[in-house]
Amino acid sequence: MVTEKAFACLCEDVTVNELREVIRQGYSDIEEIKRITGIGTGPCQGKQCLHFLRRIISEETGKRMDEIPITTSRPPLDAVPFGAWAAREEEHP
Amino acid sequence: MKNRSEVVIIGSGITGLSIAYSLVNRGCRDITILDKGHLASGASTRNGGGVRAQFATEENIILSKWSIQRFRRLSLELNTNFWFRQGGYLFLAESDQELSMLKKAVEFQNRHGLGTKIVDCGQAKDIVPQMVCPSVVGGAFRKGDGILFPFPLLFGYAEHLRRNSVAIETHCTVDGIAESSTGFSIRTSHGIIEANKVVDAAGGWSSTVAKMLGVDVPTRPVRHQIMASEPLSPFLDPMIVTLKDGFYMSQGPRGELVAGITESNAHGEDPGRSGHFFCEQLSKRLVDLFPRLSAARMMRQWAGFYDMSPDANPILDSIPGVENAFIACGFSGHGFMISPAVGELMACLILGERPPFPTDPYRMDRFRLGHTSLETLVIG
Repeated sequence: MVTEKAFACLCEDVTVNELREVIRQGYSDIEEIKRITGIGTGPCQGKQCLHFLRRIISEETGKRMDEIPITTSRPPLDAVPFGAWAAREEEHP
Repeated sequence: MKNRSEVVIIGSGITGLSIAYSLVNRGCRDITILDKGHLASGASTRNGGGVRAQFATEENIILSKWSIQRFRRLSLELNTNFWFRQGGYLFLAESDQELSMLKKAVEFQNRHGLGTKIVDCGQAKDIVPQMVCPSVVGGAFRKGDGILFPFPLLFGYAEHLRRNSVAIETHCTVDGIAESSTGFSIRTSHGIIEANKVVDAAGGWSSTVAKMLGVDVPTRPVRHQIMASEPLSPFLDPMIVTLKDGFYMSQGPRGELVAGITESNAHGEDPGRSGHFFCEQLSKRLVDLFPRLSAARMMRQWAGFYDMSPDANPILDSIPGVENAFIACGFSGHGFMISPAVGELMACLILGERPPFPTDPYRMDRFRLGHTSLETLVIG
């Protein structure tokens, strides 16, 4: 069992406690929790934290894990330097 | 869900929440807000957070000036920190034609007391030292403009409204609206709710909702893409905007760069698709202006809607021919920044009071009568 002060999201410094509070305030939609706390919006883009967040939502709401989706995945899959995008050749359809 | 409410607002975005906030401040608390998604799931949580008064029409300048004053106080009123920072907006011109357009706009803005300044290339570089801009011939800068972080503001509104007994029903789809003896009977996925007054504040979906009231609204949602970089140490104080291609970029409170650009049509209009094309087009421009950012990384990219109206200005009106129905839509990419004034204006219309702002330019019948004034400063 993790302590309530443990960080659930290392990129955005979100603690387990903060997640539980937000859910208890009535925000149980994972997209809302992401926007309110910032969880999953840092450099890892949720790769380290979102399944842990699902577990917390499950504990708080009694929903099964498979009833709780993850947030919409946004491209790119991993951070890409602007220089690499900018250097791509023009595409000619 | 409650089965009746004095006022039902469709849409829990910034517009719906601001209207409810102004209604509550005027003593009207019997309000239900419906949203088909989660709280503020449309354009309100997808935009770049820019707030400016540099507009091209008198009425937009009045609304935005008032709104900026309001944003300065709103943190305290709502007990929430949404990181409003007045670092300014710097519009950049890259041709004499663009510069003379800016000069005209600035002269007009200054007649309305905005204090916007025309800057030359050197002064622009003083404001943003990291920018490399051989093509820039000048710009317009207004320090009072700035950026905010949208979600804490939306969340702050929602919490404040709930404390004042406003009901916010999320994941609740409106399927039909019928006129009834007391007003309206609104059929939703959570059951039927009766309302004396109904407000369409559904953003990109507002013309669909208006159709349920039998009214055609000439707005349509247009997809825009945007991105955020990894967090970087602070270097960019203002929002910068290039007139040539609608490129805009600001640095948020967490150090992320948030930027977008007017997309060429090459990728099509399919709102469900995000493509490499946007990332490439945006990155080329970004690296052009800031070569040092070549090694910085794009972290996340997403899309949202501008609810576009024919003259790029919103419709803020009672719905013609349907008593006690109101609409606030067609914000064309600047809804968030004028939302406090829109809330006041709409609350006055709804309660039959006289709004403290001009209303004629925002009437629905202006399109039929041909009394439109085009807003030319639309970015992205």
